[in-house]
Amino acid sequence: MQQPAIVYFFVLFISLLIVLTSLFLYLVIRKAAENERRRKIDAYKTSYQQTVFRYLNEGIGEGELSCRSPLKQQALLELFEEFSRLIESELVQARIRAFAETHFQPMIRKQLFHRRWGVRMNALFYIEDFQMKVMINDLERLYQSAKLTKSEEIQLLKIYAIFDCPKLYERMLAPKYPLTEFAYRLLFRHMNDETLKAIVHRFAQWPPLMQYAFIDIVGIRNRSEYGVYLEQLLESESEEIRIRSLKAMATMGYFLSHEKLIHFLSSPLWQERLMAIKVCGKIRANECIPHLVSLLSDPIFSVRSQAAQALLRMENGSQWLKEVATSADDPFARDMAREWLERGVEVWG
Amino acid sequence: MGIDIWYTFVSVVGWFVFLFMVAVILFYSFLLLVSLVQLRKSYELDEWEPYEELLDVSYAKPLSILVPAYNESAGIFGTVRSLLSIEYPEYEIIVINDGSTDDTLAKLIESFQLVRINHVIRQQLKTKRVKAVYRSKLYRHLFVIDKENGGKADALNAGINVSRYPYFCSIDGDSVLERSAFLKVMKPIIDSDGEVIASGGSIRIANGCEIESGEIVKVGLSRHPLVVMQVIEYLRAFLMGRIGLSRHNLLLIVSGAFGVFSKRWVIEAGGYAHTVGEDMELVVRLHRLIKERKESKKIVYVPDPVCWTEAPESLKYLRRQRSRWHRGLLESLWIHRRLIFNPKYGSIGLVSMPYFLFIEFFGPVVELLGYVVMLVSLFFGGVYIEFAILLFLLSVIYGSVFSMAAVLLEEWTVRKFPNVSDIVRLFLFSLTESLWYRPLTVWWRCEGIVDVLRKKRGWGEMARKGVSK
Repeated sequence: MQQPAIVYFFVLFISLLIVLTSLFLYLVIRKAAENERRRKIDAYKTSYQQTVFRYLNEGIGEGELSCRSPLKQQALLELFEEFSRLIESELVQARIRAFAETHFQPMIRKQLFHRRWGVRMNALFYIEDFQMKVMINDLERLYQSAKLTKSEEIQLLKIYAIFDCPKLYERMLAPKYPLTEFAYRLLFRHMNDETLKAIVHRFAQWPPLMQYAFIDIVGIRNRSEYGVYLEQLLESESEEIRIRSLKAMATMGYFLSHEKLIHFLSSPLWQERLMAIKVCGKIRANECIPHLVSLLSDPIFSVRSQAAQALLRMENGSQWLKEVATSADDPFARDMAREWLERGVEVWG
Repeated sequence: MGIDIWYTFVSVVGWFVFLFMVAVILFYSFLLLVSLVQLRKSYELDEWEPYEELLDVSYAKPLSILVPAYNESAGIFGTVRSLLSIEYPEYEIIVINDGSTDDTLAKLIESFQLVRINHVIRQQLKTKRVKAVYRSKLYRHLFVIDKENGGKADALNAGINVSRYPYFCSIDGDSVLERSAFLKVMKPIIDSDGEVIASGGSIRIANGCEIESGEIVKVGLSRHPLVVMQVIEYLRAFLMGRIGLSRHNLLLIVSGAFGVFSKRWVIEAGGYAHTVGEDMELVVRLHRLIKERKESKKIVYVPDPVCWTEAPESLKYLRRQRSRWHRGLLESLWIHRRLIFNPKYGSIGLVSMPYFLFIEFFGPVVELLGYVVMLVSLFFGGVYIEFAILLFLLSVIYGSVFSMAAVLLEEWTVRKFPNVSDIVRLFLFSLTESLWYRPLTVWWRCEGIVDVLRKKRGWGEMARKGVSK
């Protein structure tokens, strides 16, 4: 070991400590300043709360809401955001939007092009909450920018969906980052009825994930006008599409003819059997009772369970279950029937 | 002549320790850098907005929350109460009474008006006999399983059998969750359409925080030096270590105290095993399954969702905990030793497993060697004193400097502590880590290794230990 080596090392060590300590001092000072800033903002929020509330309800007193200092502006921004979440009324939402578009626009625009991802995301959330359609060109600029990340893209497309932006559809088909099924669901969920109607005839050209999401959302949003369409999809080659269509029908209680139901109740795919049972239960398809009873002995646990649950909803369904519970040869069927008979009492009694 | 051999020996060992530490420091620096970039990106991101959408039932995947309980009569009511008010659209709570010998079950039955139900259990994982399943009359999504004692892993497996939903979360009986924790920890799973099959949250220490009816009211820092050191240690492990590992899908630990798993994958992997460190062992097994099936599934760590847990305040319990953790680590490594340096398992075999073996497991041994060399070198005098100083400085970087960096990282990005004074204290304490706390934990962990070596069949014995302390 030579003398200089340890000296160098010592110097390195000391400089490391110096760097850390100065960083520490900086952070501590910053923390103190931030705490002070937060305290002031909270104080402003308390003092503005009444005025903001009056402005939102009666439309008066906008002049009293000064946005001159950054702290006051931040306080107002937070107040408006909180109110936008609390009050549903359209008139109030319109006032929030008007105020935001006149007073917050420059600030939010600056945030929208901030170099830090978190700040940009916040700006997008503000634009959504305040419905600031006026910023559509800025959104477009962000969409075109090279630093756009996946989560920003999804949030942007969601805003496009809420704003009924015509570019949405082509962007869903050719996104910058591959969209997940969750993202497609989010977009379909926020799309308005006209847009949905306008695009549905191109269903066959969509990527599979987009198709799946659409089917699910038809069920969740209970759009019974697409029921016939779903029925056509039951002929699809794709198992996933057939299963999802059945599921959507079950969710919205679509009346599927019992011939078709019976066809799926005896499908070799257990997921199809399961979903068909759900449809039976939902629409109380009494014609299918004998099939449901035999499905109590299905090899798949969840099919048995679902069959028992569906039977309970049928005319004389509990009678059927009692019979199975006492006299069936299959012990699995007996157990399942017993459990649901008891649960049924819990649920309805 | 004989003394010369000793000099050479000490030099060789010393240089080995030196090189080892330099390598580890480089690796840690890399992890620190990855974390820093990751955390800074989402700095100042709104706390709530990104998760609001998930409250809509149509996106969120339903979740079963499993709470294993063994003689937790004192805390169980509070834990369940706090779970009843969490923010999540669809979930069920399943408390598993693992053959408690106290009045845990009676207390649950009385507080939540439990009624026995006739529930058909789908035995997907083998467990000890389940005596009864109860359901609350007050809260329809609260279930309690009463079973024969079989240990924590067995209790969790029984809970998985009874659960109805596709994802489950295991929670320790004595921890407190933030209300939005589930939304946050489920987000990567939902966002990725299920490509993420397990996701773990951060664990922080509750001692010193104000807790009211199962909710954290104010974050604070304990006065107890031993607890402060543990707070720093957790910051370091979670903020620095796991983010870096998670980024590259190298994560081998999803903490048992708070993690969400895909039920299907866990069942296919065979459920929890009877080991000391059942949480780590399961994650290694999941990784193994992913690689064997050549699927592109991920296991991630989410820095934000925080689960607050109580840390031991006495040396006695801390020592026990650390030596148990180290035994658990060894056990997981031993069970899956085939993965180490096995290119078939990709980055898990080539990076993760060796990392846990050499840095996490052998690290304390090398550090202990370092301390011994330091002492011996002092006796040798002369040029050896400089070497001792060198090793000492290195171990300070290894211990204190990285801990200081972790504290700064927390303040620079996550910022959970509201008071300036807390940060100051954390920083000053982390400065002292290498002088007392680090040597202590190193010693305890080495004790853990000795324990295993001494009791040749020690692992089996440890397995049937009840849940919790």
